Amino acid sequence: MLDAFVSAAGYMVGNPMSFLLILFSVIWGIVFGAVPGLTGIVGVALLIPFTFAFDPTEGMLLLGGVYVGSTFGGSIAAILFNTPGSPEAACTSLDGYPMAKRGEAGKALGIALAASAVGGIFGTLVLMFAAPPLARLALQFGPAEYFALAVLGITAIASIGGGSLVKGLIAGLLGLAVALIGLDPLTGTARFTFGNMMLLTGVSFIAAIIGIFALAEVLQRFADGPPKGEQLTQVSTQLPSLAEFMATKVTLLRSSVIGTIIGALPGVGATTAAFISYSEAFRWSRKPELFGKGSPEGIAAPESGNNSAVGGSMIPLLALGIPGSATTAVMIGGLTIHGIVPGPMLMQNNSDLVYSVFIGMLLANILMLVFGLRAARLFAVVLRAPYQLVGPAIVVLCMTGVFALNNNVSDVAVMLVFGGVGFFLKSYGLPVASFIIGLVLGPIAEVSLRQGLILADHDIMTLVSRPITGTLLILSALSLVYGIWGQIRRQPPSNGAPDAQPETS
Amino acid sequence: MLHKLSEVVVFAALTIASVALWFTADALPVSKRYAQVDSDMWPKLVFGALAICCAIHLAQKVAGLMAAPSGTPRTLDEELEAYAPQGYYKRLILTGALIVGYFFALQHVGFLLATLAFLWAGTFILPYRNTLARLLFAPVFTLLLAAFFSYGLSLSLPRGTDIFYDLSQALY
Repeated sequence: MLDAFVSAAGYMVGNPMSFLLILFSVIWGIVFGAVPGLTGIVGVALLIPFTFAFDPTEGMLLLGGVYVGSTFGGSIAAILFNTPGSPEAACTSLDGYPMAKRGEAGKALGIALAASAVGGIFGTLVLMFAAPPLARLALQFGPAEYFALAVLGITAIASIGGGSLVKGLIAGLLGLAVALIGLDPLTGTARFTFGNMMLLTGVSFIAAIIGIFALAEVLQRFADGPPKGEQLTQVSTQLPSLAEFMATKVTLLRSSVIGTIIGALPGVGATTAAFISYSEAFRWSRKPELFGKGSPEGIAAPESGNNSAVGGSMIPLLALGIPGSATTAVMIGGLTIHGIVPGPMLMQNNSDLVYSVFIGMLLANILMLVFGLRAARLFAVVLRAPYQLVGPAIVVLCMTGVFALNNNVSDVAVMLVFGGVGFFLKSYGLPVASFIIGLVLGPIAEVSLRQGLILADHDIMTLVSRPITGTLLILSALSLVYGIWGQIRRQPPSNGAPDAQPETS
Repeated sequence: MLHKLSEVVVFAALTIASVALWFTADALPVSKRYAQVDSDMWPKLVFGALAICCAIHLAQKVAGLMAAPSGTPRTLDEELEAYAPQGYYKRLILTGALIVGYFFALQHVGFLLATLAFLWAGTFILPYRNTLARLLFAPVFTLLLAAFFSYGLSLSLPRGTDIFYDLSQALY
C-alpha cells in the first residue's frame, strides 16, 4: 500500500496539471452544487465527455473534485436563501437559514465549510486505509440491515416534534405517505397515482425539496410584507473559532462516522447520511431546543455527514465496482470510457490511479476550504440586494433548474405543489425535518422490509435476529425511548407551551 | 380563533383522507406471488398510523376549543401562530397566482418573455423605491440566466409554442 501511495504522490507532484484540474473541478462542483436543481450529478455528467482529453487518472481527479465541491456547494444556497442547491443540503437549511436570518450568515457558512472539510477528509482517510474491510462490511448489509438502518433514521421523527410528539409523527407519516406515490418497486402496481401517468415514476425528490424550502419561503416572505427586522448583513464567511469548533467535535465525529458507513452502503448516499446525522445530532444534543433555530450542531452534523459520505461512496465503487450513490454511478461511466473496470482487481492492477484519486480527493477537500470561502462570499453579495428583487429571481432560478433536470415541466408542477405543501406545514407548525426524513427513508424502509421478509420466509423473528439488524433495531428502540423521554422532560408542567421548538422552517 | 378553527377543519380533513387512502390501499390489485408482502402492506401501516395521529391531534384541538371559549386570553405561542400582518392574504394570493401564472406562461410563451414579465410583475408586489433597479433587473437577470443555461451549460430552457417557439429557436 505504501509503495502505491508513494508512487501516486510522485505522479501528482510530477504532474502540475492534476492540481489545476482539481482546482477547476472543485470550483465547478461548488457552482453546480449551489445552483438549485443542477446538483453534482449534472456537474459530473457534463464533464465526462471532457475526460476524453485527459489520461484516466486526470479524468478521475476531475470527476472526484466535482463530487467533493458540489456536496459542499449545496449548503451555500441552503444557508443564504433557504433553497438547498442539492438534495444532500436540504438538512442544512433547517438550521443554516435561521442562523443567517439572525444576522450570522457568515458564521453559518463557516461552520458548514469547516464541517464539510472535516467530514470530507475523514471520509477520504477511511477510504485510503480501510476501503477493503469496509467494502466487505458493506456486503454484509442485506435488506434486513437496510430496513433497520432506515428505522434508526425514522425513529428520529418522534423526537423532532417541535414540542409536540403527535405533530412530529403526523409530519413524518405525511412524508412516508408521499413517498408511496408511484409504481410499487416489487410488484409494479401503480399506487396512489389516480390514473395520472406522470406520477408513475413517483415524486421527484429534488423538485419536492426545492418546492418545500425555496418556494414556501418566497411565499411566506412576500405574504409577510416588506422586510423589517431581519439582518442578513454579516455575510463575510468566517470559519468557527477553535472553541466553537471543539464544541461540535462529538457531533462532527459521530456524523463523519455515520456518513462514511452510510456512504459505503450501495444505493443509499449522501442525502440519507445527512438526515440520519442530523437526527442523531438532535437526539443526543445537550441543547436540542436550539435545533431549527440556528444551532451550530444542526449545521455541522448534516454537512460532515454528507461530505464524509462522498469518501464512503467511493469505497464500493473502487473496491467492488458497485456505485455507492447516484453520482458514483455516473462516475462509472467516466471510468469505463477509459477502459477501466472498477472492482477488486482495480486496486491491484491500477493502484496508482486509485491512490491518485485518494490524494486528489484529500487535496480537493483542502482546496474547498479556500475556495468555499471565496465562493460563499460571492454568493453572499446577493444578500445585499433587496428581497423584492431576489425573491422572484429565486423562483425563476428554481423553476429553470428543476426544468433542466429532465427537460420536463411535470417536475416543475411537482415543485409548485410542494411549495404549497411546505407552506401548509409551516402554517400549522408541522416540522419540515420530520416530513423530509419520512420522504427520504420511506422507500428504503418499505422495500427492504418486504425483501427482508421474503428472504426470511416471512418470519419476522428471523429478520430481526440477524446480528447487525438486531443491534440497529435495539439502538433505534433505545434512541426512540430516549427521544420521547427527552420531549416529556422538556414539556413545561403548566400550560404545555414548548421550549424545545425545532421550527424547521 | 379563526386559525384554531382552520386547524380543526384541516386535521379533520386529513383524518378522513387517511382513512380513505387506507381503503384505497386495501383495494390495490393482489399479487399471488407476493401475497404476504403485497403492495398494500406498507401503505396500510402508514395511513393507519396517520389516521390515528390526526384523530388524536384533532381531538386535542377540539377539546382545547371547548375548554377555552372565545375571549379567553391566548398563550404567546397561540398569538404568534395566529398572527397575520395586514394585507397578508392579499399578498399571499397575489404571489401564488403570479407563480402559477409564470408556470403556465413558461410552457406557452417560452422562457425569455415569461421570465421578463414575471420578474417585472414580481418586483411590484412589495413596495420598493428604486424603480430603475426594478426595471433593469428583470431583463439583465433573464438574459444572463438564459445565456448561462443555453450557452454555458448547453441545457435547454422552455421554448413555448407556435410563434413563441420560433422566436425562442431564433434566440437560443
